[in-house]
Amino acid sequence: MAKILIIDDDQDIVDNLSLVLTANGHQVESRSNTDDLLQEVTRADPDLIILDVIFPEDPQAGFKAARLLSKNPRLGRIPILLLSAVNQRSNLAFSLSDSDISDDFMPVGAFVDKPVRPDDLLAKVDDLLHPGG
Amino acid sequence: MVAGCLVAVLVGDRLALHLEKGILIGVALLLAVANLIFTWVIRAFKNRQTESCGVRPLVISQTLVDLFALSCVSYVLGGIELPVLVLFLGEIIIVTLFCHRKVSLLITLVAACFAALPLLLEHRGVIPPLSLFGSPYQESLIADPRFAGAYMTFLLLAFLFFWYLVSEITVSLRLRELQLQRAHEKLLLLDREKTRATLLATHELKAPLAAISSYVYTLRDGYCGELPEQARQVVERIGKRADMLVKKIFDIILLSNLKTQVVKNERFKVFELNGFLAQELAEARELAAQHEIQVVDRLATQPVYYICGIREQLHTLMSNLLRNAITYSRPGGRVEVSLEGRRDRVTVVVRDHGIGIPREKIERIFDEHFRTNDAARHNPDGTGLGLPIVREIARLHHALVRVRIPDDGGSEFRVTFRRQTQPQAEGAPDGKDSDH
Repeated sequence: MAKILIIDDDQDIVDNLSLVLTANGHQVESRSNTDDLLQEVTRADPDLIILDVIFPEDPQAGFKAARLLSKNPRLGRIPILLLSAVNQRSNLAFSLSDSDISDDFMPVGAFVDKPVRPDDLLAKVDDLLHPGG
Repeated sequence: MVAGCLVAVLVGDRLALHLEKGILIGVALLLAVANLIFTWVIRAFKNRQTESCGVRPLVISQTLVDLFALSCVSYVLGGIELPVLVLFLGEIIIVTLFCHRKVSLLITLVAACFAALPLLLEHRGVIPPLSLFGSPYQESLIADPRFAGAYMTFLLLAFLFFWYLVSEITVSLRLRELQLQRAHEKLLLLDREKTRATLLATHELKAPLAAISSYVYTLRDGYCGELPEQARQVVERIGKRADMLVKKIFDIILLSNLKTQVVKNERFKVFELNGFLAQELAEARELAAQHEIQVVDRLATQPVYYICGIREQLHTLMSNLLRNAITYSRPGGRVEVSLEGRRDRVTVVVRDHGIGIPREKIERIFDEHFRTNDAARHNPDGTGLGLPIVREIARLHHALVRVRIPDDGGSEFRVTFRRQTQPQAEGAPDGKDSDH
């Protein structure tokens, strides 16, 4: 099973995801912000990162973190699952779908909507950990 | 002016006019050469200079050449015989519009000098007086120092008065333009701030509910151990109400955002309506299958239409209409979608055979939070904001939304857009009317 790093400021979401993931045999570690991102990810050395988009100090911190990680030759290989509570088609500042995923614009493996459905989460985690398999 | 000079040369004899053809041809040649040079300079410097520092020297240079030419023409045409001097006023307008006030005043004084020059030279005997109609009084008038002095003073005062009027209007227009530009920038800034605040408000309201729902799913799916049947049903209800609350919050914020939105032209794109609708129908059919509803369309056999709009917003509009049509149909029912093209308009028609809308309540269905009793009974989960959102999106697209109650039951929603014939064209749609 895999080692998964969850980066989200909402402790309830972290606990909930941890519950589902650990029940499926994954090892979970969490961070509540994107400070010292590269050092923290290097230290945790995860197989997958689950990353929130909006953080208290910066509504785009998740996007910035994903771009920062993708530019790192070693850490850029770690797949990212992006979490969002506003991931709906709308006329708000952004709306995301799988077609938005690209190395330049949104270097993540997949999106998962909040509220998180356990089956959906596990399926996407499995897809990212075992691409093509 | 070049053409005018040449025409005068050609028809002057036929009209028995006393024209100095040599001067007119010379003026025409001078202007033609000057225009060629100015055109070449503009093209050569087009991409290198900014508008303010590139255009003004050219305008001034060309104006000086034109003033000299006008001076020659007014001399040939008799000066005081015809209102040729009015042509100078055009030059004053151009200079006042493009140049600084002091520069335009200076050019106006130069124009007055050029306008008075033929008369002055004729009065001093430097050049012979010319009369277009061979008038015997022309020479004596010009020779009279009182007339010459009064005429030149009049010219100067008239030009200065005209310059003052035009410059005042120009200053006022520039001021208005500046105010409008600042107001527009302020609106855009406010819109950006509003969008950011909306985004954060959505997040703040949705995040706690998302956490509750996530816990509900986790409980329901047995990640905290098996639940007794009754507890599982309660958990399901909590989850359902939390999901409804999330949707309601999102709809309220979306509607408020649409109502106060500053439309940016760059967000509008021309796209094929048939293909767009086909995608919407594919999504709608998934929901229809759950309700045992058949969604029928004739898009494949219909002509291809293009419209201009914001795809994301039109997705919301169409999905709201299709969701309503499916939700308020009875199991085993049909929803029909078609396009009707007429002249420069195209109408999307969504027809269902469901519970329908009482005729006396049709005026209220676009009101916020309004739901008919039948609708609330048939679908308790509705927010009463779907149709107001449809109305707002239609308004932003200058589209017309109409509702028809067919005699054989159900309802028919018709959204009429302005057709686009050029898929490359972009920008906000033109239009004037929308019912809702």
